Amino acid sequence: MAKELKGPMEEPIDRTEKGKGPEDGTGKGINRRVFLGALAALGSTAALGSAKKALASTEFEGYPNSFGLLTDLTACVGCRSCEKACNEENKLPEPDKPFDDSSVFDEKRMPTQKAYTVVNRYENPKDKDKPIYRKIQCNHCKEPACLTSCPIHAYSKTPEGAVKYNPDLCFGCRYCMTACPFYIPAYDYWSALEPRIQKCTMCHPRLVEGKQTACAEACPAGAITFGKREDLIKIARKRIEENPDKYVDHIYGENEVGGTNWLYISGVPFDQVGFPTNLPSKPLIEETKGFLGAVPVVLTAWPALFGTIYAALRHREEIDKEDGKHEEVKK
Amino acid sequence: MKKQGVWSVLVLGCCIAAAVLFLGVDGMKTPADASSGSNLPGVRTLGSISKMYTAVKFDHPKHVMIAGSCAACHHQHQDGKKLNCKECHDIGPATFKNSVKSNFLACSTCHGEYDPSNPSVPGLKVAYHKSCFQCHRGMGNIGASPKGCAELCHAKKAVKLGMKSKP
Repeated sequence: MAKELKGPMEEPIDRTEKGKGPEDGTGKGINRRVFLGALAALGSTAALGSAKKALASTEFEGYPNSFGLLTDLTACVGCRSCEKACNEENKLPEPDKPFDDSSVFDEKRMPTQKAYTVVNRYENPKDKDKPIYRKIQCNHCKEPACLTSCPIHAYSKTPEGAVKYNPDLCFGCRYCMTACPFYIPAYDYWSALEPRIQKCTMCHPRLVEGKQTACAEACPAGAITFGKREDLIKIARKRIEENPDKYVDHIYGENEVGGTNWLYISGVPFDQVGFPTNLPSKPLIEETKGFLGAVPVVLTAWPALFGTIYAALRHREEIDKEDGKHEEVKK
Repeated sequence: MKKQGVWSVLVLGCCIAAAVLFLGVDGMKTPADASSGSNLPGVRTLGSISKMYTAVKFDHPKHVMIAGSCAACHHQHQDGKKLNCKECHDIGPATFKNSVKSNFLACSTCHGEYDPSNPSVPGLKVAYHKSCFQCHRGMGNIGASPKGCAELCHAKKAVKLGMKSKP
């Protein structure tokens, strides 16, 4: 982006230099114009350079040693213990249908303000008697789009790996809801006075205490493994290598949108169990960072630069016209 | 005609008896040889971590008969994992007087409380359930409905939930 911007800015200088010649009697004026043009170009490139530097400094590789979770879709038996533990831990209301009711699987649910995590059922093409269950919750991206979209910094990425939300700062713009590639943040539409965004917190208070998340602790099937993200990637890769027939060769979340702290391995392709598989491997902010970074430069440097060039060119035209008149008179 | 009928019934009976005897003894022999032989664990009550569900009455001999080998649930020498002797056997001076085979360490020695710094070793709850789900997933409602947990293995305890009550 910065390179593209540079081109048209440098061109005017060349043009003015071409226009300069020993036969042109106005050497002093042109020199001044060249100087002014060069100054403007220098200023803008310097501004661009600093913008580029600023963009580079925001590049973030994720916190080392942050925690993560690995969901093994082949292990989940759909007992909904994780849902129950989550509601208990976060003091969420009791659900409309009890946790041992399997009729909730008839539809595909999404996390709501009353349930930070939900389990959905999918048909297993390999074995119809063993349906596949998929737990959905915030994936705690390494570079979260919700965080970057939030105009008031109500979101934060903690060194433990959790993407936290501060309801005291939030003013309810709901940008995060549209920014999230997984459609996770839920809005408390029913609360008239203090509506809040609600989503999985990765049990951040528990992480600080050195405990694992409530869902991972509750899972009896070993479908949710809590640990350091780097360790979990190794475990996932080992499981895939040791059981190539059981798993598809992909760790979902290792690279999706720049990597997420929640990882998944599955026995069937991820698009068959409702995962978005069209996501870039770069953080979503990368898609807009160039544009957003250029906005201040464009708004400040461009008017000054092009205004100066325009004024300079107009001035030269006037001088040329006057010179022409003089020459005609001389003739 | 009548005599023939009696004979055929007798032969069939013998065949069935032989088959039952042979299969039964064979089924018992393999795991018995693999472990301690004389002191096969009987019916055990697994309740050390029962929180939301009641303790499980686990019929060891019955499961050994069905699974056919201890290795179906337990680590064995043959399962390819290189573990030190000490990790499963309680080795001490007294042990060698008898046999290391009669001094197994409890599963909870390694699979105790889950340690996040060692995520490849599951905690006791997961280790238990993983063993059970190998066969029991797909049986009854296990893996089909959350109710399955309380149907086949353990009854649900009346535990007070820490959730907000329904509005």
